[in-house]
Amino acid sequence: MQSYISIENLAKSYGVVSAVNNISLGIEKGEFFSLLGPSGCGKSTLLRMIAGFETPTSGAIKLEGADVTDVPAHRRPTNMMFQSYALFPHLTVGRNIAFGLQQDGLAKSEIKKRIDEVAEKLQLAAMLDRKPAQLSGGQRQRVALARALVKRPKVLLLDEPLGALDKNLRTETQLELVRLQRELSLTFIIVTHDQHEAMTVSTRIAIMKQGQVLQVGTPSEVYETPQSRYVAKFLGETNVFAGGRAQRNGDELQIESDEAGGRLHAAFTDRVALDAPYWVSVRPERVELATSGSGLEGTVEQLTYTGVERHYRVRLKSGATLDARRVNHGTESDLGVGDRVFASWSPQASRLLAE
Amino acid sequence: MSTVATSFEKANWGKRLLIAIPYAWLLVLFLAPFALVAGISLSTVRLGMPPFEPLTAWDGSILNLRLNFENFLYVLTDDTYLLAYLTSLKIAAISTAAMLLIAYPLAYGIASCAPSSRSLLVFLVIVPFWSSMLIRVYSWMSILRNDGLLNALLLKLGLIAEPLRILNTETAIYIGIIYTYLPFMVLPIYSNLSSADKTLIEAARDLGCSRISAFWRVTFPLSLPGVLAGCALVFIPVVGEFVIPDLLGGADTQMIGRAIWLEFFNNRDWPMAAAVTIVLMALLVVPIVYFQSRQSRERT
Amino acid sequence: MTKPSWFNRLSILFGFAFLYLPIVVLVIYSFNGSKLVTVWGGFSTQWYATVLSNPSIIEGAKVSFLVAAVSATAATILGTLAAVVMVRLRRFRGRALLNGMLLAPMVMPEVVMAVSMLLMFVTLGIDRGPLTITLAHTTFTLCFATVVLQSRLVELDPSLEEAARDLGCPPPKAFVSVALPNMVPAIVSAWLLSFTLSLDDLVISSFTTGPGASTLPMKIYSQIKFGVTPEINAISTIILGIVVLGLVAAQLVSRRSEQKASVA
Repeated sequence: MQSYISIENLAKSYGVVSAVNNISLGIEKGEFFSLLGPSGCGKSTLLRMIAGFETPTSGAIKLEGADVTDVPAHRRPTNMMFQSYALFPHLTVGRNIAFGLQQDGLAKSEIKKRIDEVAEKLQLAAMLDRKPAQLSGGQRQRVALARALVKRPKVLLLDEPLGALDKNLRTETQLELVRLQRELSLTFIIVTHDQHEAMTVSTRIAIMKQGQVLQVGTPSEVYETPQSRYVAKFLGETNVFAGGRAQRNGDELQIESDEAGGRLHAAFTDRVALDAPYWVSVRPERVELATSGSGLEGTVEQLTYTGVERHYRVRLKSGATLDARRVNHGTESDLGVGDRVFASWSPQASRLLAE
Repeated sequence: MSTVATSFEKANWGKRLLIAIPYAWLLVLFLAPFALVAGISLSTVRLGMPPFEPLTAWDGSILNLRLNFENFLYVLTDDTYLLAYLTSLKIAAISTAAMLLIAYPLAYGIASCAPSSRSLLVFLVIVPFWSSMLIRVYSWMSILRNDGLLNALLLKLGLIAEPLRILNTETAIYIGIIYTYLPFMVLPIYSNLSSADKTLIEAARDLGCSRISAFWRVTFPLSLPGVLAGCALVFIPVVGEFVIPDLLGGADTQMIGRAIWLEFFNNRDWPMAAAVTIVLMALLVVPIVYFQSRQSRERT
Repeated sequence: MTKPSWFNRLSILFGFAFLYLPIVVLVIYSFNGSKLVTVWGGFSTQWYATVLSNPSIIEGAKVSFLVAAVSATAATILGTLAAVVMVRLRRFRGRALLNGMLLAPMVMPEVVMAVSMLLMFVTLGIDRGPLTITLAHTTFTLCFATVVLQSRLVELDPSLEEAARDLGCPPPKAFVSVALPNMVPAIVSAWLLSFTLSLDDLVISSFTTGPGASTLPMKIYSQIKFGVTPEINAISTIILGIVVLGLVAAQLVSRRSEQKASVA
């Protein structure tokens, strides 16, 4: 099946340095798709190739089945919201928004209509006559969005669009972006290094590392069933222990782990080859701590209070550390630093990971 | 308490002294001289040293103040001076425009190079500016003369039968001015273009502009401050230029800088020269004030 | 603007051809054995010998270098003071006037400054000669020196000095021990700029000098007035050589100090 946007064996190298390494991806119409990864992973290069600013070394980009690989940026039905916003400082907000429409040779009345429309949607109506320098960060961000949206692109590309905003405004704007995207039923592709942001806004996330896509999936898929140690650690926090000899017992695996200093339980799946090195991972919020009982034995080494949760760092007998979290229910913690604890979790919370 | 006060006062005195030194220097050697020029322009020429009458004289117990406006009346009504002012403004305007046409593509070209080669190219633009202006003007004399290199070349190629008379014409003045002042036009435009935000061009391209329309809609309007700075830096001194019209121009093209020089050294009419200078300053007040406000805005 | 297009290359080529062709011609013909510009009379250094044995030229060069060295030093010192005043003391009475006086000479036609300074010296009754030329040159190069120093001082992080003051330095000492060393490249280029401008000046020197004291440009000017001679080609080439050497040296110095800065 042909995707709305399909990226086929796309590669980009600068001399001997390869920025994007043979990536294939399909993005459907109406998706809010995230490219997530640390800086230098090639996510921006990939976005810029979709926008038409970089020419791929090999591979193809297709939009609705048509090959657009060699179409220059100004003829592509994609629009970009730049990280720096790239608002034209010599033009007013209104003329910034009108810029692309004028370039398309639209009639004056039509341009005005479309500007008013988008200005209302993004609460910019009162500042159309101002220059970008007179706006606040949040307002500039909305102007940049309006300027790209007003052209009604088939795909809106967002390059770290919220990086310059402070934390509270960022959360607000993420929700606003999702609302807009649903309302306009447009396809959005966003580049971000902030996993929280990717989880909040996206329908699907592609996690990238060193020019390659490691895993693609919905936020819950990539969080709950990461397929590699890298993805598990990049998305949220996790405890990882090297797995040793394993024994199947019905639906359950019993795994000896020297690193954890005991036996771990996991649900049996045939996804991971147990004869190669593998790891067992468990999210801190799935770990239960008790003062007695079975499980991995250790001592509470550190206790931090974040309001929503309490974070415990446990020093296991094996010498490894284990993180656990408890939601704050308004009661005092029954565990304190130095207390002896036993950590355990349900077999379904364990995730087996290859390298 | 007392130590704080004394150290504060000491700092204050230090500050005042710091301000006072450059201030006093410029007041005495820059601003006061202008007032003097204005005063002497209202005086009358005489033989001797200094070659002008004092403005005030004690007549017993009466202070006489004699202001002679004749120089100004003469400057403003005499055809030779009017023509010299107009010629200066015309030559400055045309050569500024021509320089812009050469300097902008050059600055744009340098700005489009890789940063490593940029600094070398900028250096090469600056070198001629550091070398003597007199020498650079002189080099054109030997090229443009009737028996100079250009004519020799054109004759050899058979393009002309008779040597062209270029030296001692207005054309030679234009060539000399454009050549001498070109770096002053290139550098401000270059520094503006090289610090321009390249993502703005990408944004324009993304919104549907071709390379050329992105240039005219974004790059060029944003570079206007650099262009205006270059124009001011060139236009104002060119209006009062002396060396170039004197060495390259002919007797029929009189520019105002040369007129002042002649009035001083040949006619020795200092009050008249002062009046000509004052009128020149009046003509240039607007561009100079523009330049200053721009510069000080840039610096804050 | 990733790669220069053919248009960009062409404009660079044309621009530099225009800037350098006359200079190249000048240098080549300084080694011409013939007196005629259009005739190549073989390679010769005879014009250099003539120049170097011309006492009037040597005398002019001495005056010029002395005036340039003294006025560049004075302009750099005054310029540093002015830059500190303009950048660090943001508010004081008469700031706008000082700013105006510092900027105006940059665009003021030379003739205007020349006339006004001559009248000042005559009024004050100062004998005109090397001293008055030096005073005049200091004044007109001061603004260029200030611009160079000011732009460096603006870039300089004020928290450096604040750190020094926090560690116990009084403000003047903090400036001298922290800001000043970081301004050395700017001070060097301000001095060189003032020196060259002074060395190059004809108009202001002609107005402010008295009988007997002629600078090198004045001597060259009066020779040129008589007509083109190969001797002037030779003088010009010597001056060009000195300028290029000086510029390359300055460039190397500033590059090395930049590298040092980036290593540290």
